[in-house]
Amino acid sequence: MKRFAYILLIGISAIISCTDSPGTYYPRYSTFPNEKAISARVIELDTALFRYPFRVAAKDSMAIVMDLHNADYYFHAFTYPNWKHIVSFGKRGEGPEEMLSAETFQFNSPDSIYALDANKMQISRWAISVENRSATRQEVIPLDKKLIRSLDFYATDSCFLIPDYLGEHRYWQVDYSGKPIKSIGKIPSEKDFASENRPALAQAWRSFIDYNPHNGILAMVTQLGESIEIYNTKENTHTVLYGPNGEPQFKNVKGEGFPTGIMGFSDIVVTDQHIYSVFQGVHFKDKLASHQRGEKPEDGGRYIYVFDLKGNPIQKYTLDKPIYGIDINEKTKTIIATCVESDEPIMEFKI
Amino acid sequence: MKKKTLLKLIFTVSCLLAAYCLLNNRETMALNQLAFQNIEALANGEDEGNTDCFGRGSVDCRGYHVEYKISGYSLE
Repeated sequence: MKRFAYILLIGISAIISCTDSPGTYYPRYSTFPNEKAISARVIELDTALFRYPFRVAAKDSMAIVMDLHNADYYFHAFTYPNWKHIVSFGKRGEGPEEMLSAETFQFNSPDSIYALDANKMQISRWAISVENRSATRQEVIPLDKKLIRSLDFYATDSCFLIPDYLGEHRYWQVDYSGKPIKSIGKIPSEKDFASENRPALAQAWRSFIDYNPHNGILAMVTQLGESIEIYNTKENTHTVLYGPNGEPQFKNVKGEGFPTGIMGFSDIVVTDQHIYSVFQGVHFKDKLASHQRGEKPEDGGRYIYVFDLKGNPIQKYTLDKPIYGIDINEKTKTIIATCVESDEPIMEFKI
Repeated sequence: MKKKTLLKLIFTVSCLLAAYCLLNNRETMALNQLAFQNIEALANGEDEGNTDCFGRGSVDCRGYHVEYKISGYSLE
């Protein structure tokens, strides 16, 4: 009889351990030990090219700006740090060489980038020639249908890291032919969602990611709410942090997620020592109320939050302009940022 | 006799555990299929609800980047 009890206990324990465990609560940050207000220095451009400059990155002597709502081209290359226009590329359109959308990009080498087109579900590689003032598409990697829709990526030496769109996992490792190799993690919600609600959950948890190959840190921030995750791929640890606004709030309608809370983060950069993120923190209801008053609500974040690689809050910068995308150079203590609100689309902050 | 009973019990518990895990996997497979169908329906413009992809912004709404994604014309 005693043996029967033991066996029953083992069986029940096995079943419980197989089941998701709701009721996990993650640590919160509320304040930063250091706070500082910083002012933008507007970059003078020789051309007015942008409608909605969403992402920016500089590498060696070149800077690229991605325009989310462009009239003709998604990408614009400039000399850096002089900001002289080199070439515009990634033509908007439905043709085979054209792009239906662009979510983000990443430098592959000082004169080459990877660009993600979520509507075509492909990553393309472009080479940019300063001498010829041209950009040519070198390679197209179609992403597997299993990924459904990819809204961000990071290209490592061995694979792409891509957030999961269905909510069953957190992110994928995808090989350079576009095939998923491995799924990792799960969405760190404190709520217990039934499996049929996970696609809506994943849409609400749409995250921006960055990875640093030197320290193996993959960090993610949510576009809605205020959630941060840090995967240390070298030490195999996973840290989850919530800010005062908590996890993304949404309404689930027929498996689709609709934002109801705040606009949270808009970009993230992982350096060798820190994690930088742009934070907005404005409630959608307040934005709509502005429209109702006949005002245009501000678009962009006025805060840059800095964390160490373990997720401890280090610094909060308050900006005099709302920004979207950032690139960080810790050696020169410079932040390059995009602004969608003014006729001054590119600016620099000294930290 | 006792040994036989013990073996029977271990076998029963193993079967229950295997059945549970199998059921769980099937749910996941069903979800994949369902999600595919939903996304294909959305791509084909089959929309039964009041969904509005409004404004110019960075929120992903059915292939567009918008300021608001609203269902039932409400943020409630």
